[in-house]
Amino acid sequence: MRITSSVALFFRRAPQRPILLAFLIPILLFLFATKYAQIHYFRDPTSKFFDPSRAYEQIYSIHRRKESNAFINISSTVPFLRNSKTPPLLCLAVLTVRRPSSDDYFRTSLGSILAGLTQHERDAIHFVPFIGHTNASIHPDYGQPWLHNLADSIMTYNNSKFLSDGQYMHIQELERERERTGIPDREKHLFDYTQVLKECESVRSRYVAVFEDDVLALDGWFHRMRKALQVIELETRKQGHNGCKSLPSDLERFLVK
Amino acid sequence: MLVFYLRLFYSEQNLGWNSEELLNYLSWIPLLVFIFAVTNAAIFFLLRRTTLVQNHRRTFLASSLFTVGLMAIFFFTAGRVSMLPLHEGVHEMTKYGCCAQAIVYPTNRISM
Repeated sequence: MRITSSVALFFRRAPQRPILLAFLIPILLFLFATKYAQIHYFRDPTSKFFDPSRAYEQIYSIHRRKESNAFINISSTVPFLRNSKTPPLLCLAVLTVRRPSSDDYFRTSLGSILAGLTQHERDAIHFVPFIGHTNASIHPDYGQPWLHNLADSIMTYNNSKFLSDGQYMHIQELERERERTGIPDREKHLFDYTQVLKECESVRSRYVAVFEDDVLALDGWFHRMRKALQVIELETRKQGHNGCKSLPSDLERFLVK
Repeated sequence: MLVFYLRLFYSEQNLGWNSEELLNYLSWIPLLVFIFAVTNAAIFFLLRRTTLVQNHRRTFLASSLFTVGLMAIFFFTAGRVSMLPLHEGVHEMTKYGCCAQAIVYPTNRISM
């Protein structure tokens, strides 16, 4: 009773002092909006309401990792390979090296890339993991049955067709240096990258994708990527034909959400 | 000849407000002011008979501007990714690029 009467009093008096109301209401709304933002925008790093303690909580990633691991377990016995003679749409290379910390992201990454693809989609991909060592057997996943059941070919520095003896020796040198300093080497990474690009070029696919070994692909990434490529090609062609807007001299870069 | 490459990863961290694009953001202000002007006009119209509005026009005008200011502050502090989220699909990103974990190239770009 007391509260309602004081509220009533406030509203009876408010018309005499509207300046109070006129500024109180916007401020209250602002505070409500702030509260809303704290609840909803804490995952947005561009926001002042970003909250690192809650933002990095994994929800989908955990789920996807489970799916990926289940898929890899099944793949120990069931192969999932490209089954087509025509040139693939995509040559997909994954660069992997053994981590000094002996963390193995590669297994889950690779699983997440392939888990959930249809056989039709799988046929459009030539899948080549590249184990970036001159002695590939030091990689924890080298020689695993699931790797052979999933990869269309497995590249290493031992079986590379694109490496001269001199370069091979140089790679060994870089590896020894990595061993000694523990710092990942930029030059070695460039070599790895070049190897897979050359391999993929020889496959005659329409596109080449290079993935690192510590990514987690979402279910449906492939059809999204394919759609994105169609959109880009359409846009690029349209711009080319009209001649209204010439292509920029440097690369156009795109990202997929 | 296709000249592009496609990043499959991005980071929201690089999609925040940039001071270089300030003019771009300022161009939104007229729209914001317009929306509030319309809203206020509607409220004025509904309350036009009351003595409250008739006696305190100036206060209400000041309050409206004050509200617009607060909303602008909220808009920018709430973060760009929340306020103007990217729609699903592919986006051109000629600036502020990042994230090379997974990139797709057209094969005709990699002749050696």
